[in-house]
Amino acid sequence: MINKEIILKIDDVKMDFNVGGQTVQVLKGISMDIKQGDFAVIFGPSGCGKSTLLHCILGMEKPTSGKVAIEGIEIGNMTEDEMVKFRKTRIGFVFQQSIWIKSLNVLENVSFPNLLKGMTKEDAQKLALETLKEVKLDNWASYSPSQLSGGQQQRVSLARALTLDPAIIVADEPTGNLDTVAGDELIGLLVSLNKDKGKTIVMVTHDLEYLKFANKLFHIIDGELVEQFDNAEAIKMSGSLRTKKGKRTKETVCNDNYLDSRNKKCK
Amino acid sequence: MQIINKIKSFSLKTFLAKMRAAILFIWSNIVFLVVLLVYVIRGLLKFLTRRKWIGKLFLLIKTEFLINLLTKLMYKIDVNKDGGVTKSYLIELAFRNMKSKRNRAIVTVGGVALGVGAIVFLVSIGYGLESMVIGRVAKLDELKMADISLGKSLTVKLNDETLEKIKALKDVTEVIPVVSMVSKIKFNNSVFDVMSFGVDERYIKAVNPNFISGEKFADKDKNFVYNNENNQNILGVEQEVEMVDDSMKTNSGIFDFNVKDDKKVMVYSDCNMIKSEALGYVIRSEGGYIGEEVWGEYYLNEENNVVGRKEKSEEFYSKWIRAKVPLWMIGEEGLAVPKLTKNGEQEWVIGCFKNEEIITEEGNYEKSNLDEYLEGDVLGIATESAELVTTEEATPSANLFETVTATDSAGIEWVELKKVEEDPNALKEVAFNGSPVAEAFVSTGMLKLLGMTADKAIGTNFKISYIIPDGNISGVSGRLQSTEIEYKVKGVVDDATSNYYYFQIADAKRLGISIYSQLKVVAKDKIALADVRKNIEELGLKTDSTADTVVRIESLFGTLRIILGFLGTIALAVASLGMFNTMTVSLLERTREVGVMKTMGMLSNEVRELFLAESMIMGVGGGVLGILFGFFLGKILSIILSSISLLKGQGIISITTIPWFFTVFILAVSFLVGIITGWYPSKRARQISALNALRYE
Repeated sequence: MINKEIILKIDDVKMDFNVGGQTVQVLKGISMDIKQGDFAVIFGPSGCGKSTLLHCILGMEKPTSGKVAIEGIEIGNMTEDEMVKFRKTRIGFVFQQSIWIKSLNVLENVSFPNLLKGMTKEDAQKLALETLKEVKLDNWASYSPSQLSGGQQQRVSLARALTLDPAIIVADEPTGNLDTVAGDELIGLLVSLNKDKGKTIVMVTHDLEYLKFANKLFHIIDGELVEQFDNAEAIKMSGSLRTKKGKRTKETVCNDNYLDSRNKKCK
Repeated sequence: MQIINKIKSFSLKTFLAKMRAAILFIWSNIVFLVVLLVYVIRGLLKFLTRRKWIGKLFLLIKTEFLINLLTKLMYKIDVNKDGGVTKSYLIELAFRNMKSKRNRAIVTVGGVALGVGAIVFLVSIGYGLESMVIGRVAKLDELKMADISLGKSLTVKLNDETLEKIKALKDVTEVIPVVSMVSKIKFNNSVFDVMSFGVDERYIKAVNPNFISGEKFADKDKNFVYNNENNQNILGVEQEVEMVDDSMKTNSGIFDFNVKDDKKVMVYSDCNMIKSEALGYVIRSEGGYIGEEVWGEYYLNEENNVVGRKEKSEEFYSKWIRAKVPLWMIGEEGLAVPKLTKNGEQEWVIGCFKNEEIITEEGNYEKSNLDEYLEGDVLGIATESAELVTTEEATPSANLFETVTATDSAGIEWVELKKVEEDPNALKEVAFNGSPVAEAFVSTGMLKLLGMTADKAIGTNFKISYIIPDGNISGVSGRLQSTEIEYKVKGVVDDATSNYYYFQIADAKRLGISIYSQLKVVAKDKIALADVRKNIEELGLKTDSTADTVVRIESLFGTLRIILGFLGTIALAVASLGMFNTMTVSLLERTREVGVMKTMGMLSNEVRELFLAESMIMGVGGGVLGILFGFFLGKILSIILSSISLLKGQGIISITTIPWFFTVFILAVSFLVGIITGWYPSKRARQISALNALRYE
């Protein structure tokens, strides 16, 4: 536990957007280290910059300044194609809404990332079926993804991320569109992946319920990392938030209603 | 300067980079096509194997093995550099996309197929009409043949020597002689003229007439060689070769000579027709001239029967006469008028002329050098005192020539041949030397004249006599006609359009004909014919070929095809726009899909290739279907037209033809249509950001 390798290193990342001639600072210098086997959760109100930070981790956007390094490799300087190549071998992702290649069935969609690596169809499908077994959806392999329920789709999405054996799995509000049961099921899978297989997971969520599963928590407000907890505190924090939920204090209102970050009462 | 250099090197670099990119693009397209081909064949095999009925049949021939082999082959060609997606997978994806939007794909491909089909159908009618017309005009083999006839140059004659010369030319496979004569036919108390062709088997093989009855033409009497000892009444040409020493001069010394009456002999400045200048003519003069025989450049002649050959070489020489002579010109109505000097006197020159139309007489000259005699006054000037003594009266029945002897004032006796005064229209009869084959292969047109059917004609006899064209028998002129002889019909040629018959060329040779009416040259192939004809024309001969007509027809139909092709292109252009629309819509629909593909690790170039693959498949698919569509439409039209023409008693009409190169061209065009219409959508797809995958709707 002590000598764990740093998988994701974010060092003083700043991000400016130019909107209508005005420069808006979205990320105001965020630094964080995520180690091998971590289950990191980034949470905060909407518009706080979580998604932008995630884009930076995925290499889809380049930070204005600062560094993002995965497994010691600086990804900020990569060209688009270099980044794509890096992504297809090292990063798996699950988004809030699953997007499918509609003409392909579940199995083919899951084998897609490996085919992009130049694997033969037979090998890629064998691997895909194995990962589908892990998410307990191998019976649905020949269905079209759109025939599956939202929860199932998210699990297939997870299988698609897992099939290329990534160094890090990035999940952007994976339970956002799911009901509690399906959400719990998905989080359960993520947790077991983290615990049993030692997968490094970075998840963005606003559902405080799931904070307790994380061993690292990053609280972002207005582009600034305001709090950072480790595992034990996370559980405590999560628990305390839950217990306070019913009382509707100013704090809990603000914690629950991140959607309204501009609410003056919270500041 | 430095800046300029920089710009130069920079632009060169970018140019090279662009070239490299272009070559890589073309190469990847070729690989793509090959992989696509293998993929489609494999897919077809798989499809067929899965069918119940045919499937069993296919299992028998180990399709499984074949499919595996194709798969291996596909992966082998489709090497994926640095871990990119394979082309075969892109092709599969493209197919899957089209399958999921089946109706749209069918409509789009169908549109392209219609456009391509329109082009193929219209242009194939153009080709079909052309080949129909050319088929009526010329048979295929005729396009590598040309007919040789006499041109403006009168020095060349269509004899065996010229034939050999032509045969020695580059790319000439065969030179076939033809003697064409009008023959007077007497049959059942009626007389009529038909054309007749003295030919050999080679000619028949080249022209390939359709023998419908009787025997086929076969060479007979082939080895007959005419030589003048066989026959007294016609002079032939026989040349003996003697060796010539390097001084190239004969030892015959100096002698007296004169020119035959009524003849004009060209005087050259040198004993070489080509290199020297023609000065004028020399004509007969009373008293004659003094001259010497000299070996000079070889010329074709009939009278001088000696040819010189330099030892161990292929250089030939002929005997020339060198002398000092007065010059004459040809004035009005072909009369000789003196060529005058500035002083108004007749011009005298020392010149050379061919040893033709010359009568020589040995003189008693001690000196062997002509020039010594030529100094000072010229000897042997014609004088009034010469006395002509006629020794024999000319009679029409005698030889063609009359002998006249004269003694001039110097006491030299002259012997000359004088043409007999005779009726120029009188027919001279020429007898066959030995017995001719006398077999005729008649055309059905001629049979109509004879009033016979093809089956009954075989074995029929009719009497003929050939009218021999002036100049076909060497050295003899005037109206010539062969003796009457009985010919037997041996075969019938299917040609109702004209009246003629073929006979053995040996029969013509037995008449003493050594100069052919025509030569047929066969070139190595169609393309070589043009050069062969050019070379022959340089010999001073004229050539004609049906290829000329065909070229005119081809250029006419070339224009027609362009017009038809243009009409078809409009249809294809509309279909292309449809395809462009489909591709653009498909792109817009799949923006998020492209985003997620990119997030998963698809390179922008691969995305572009995916979209291009789709449009190329649609293009090629439309092209293939269009060619089939156009082909079958053409066949249906042919069937309809044929059934109409069969009802009217005509033959089958094949109105459409699709040459293989046109098929290849159309496939290339449809492939190109795929690339062009897919270009913009694929470029847009390339630019779609991966972030689209994260933008929630």
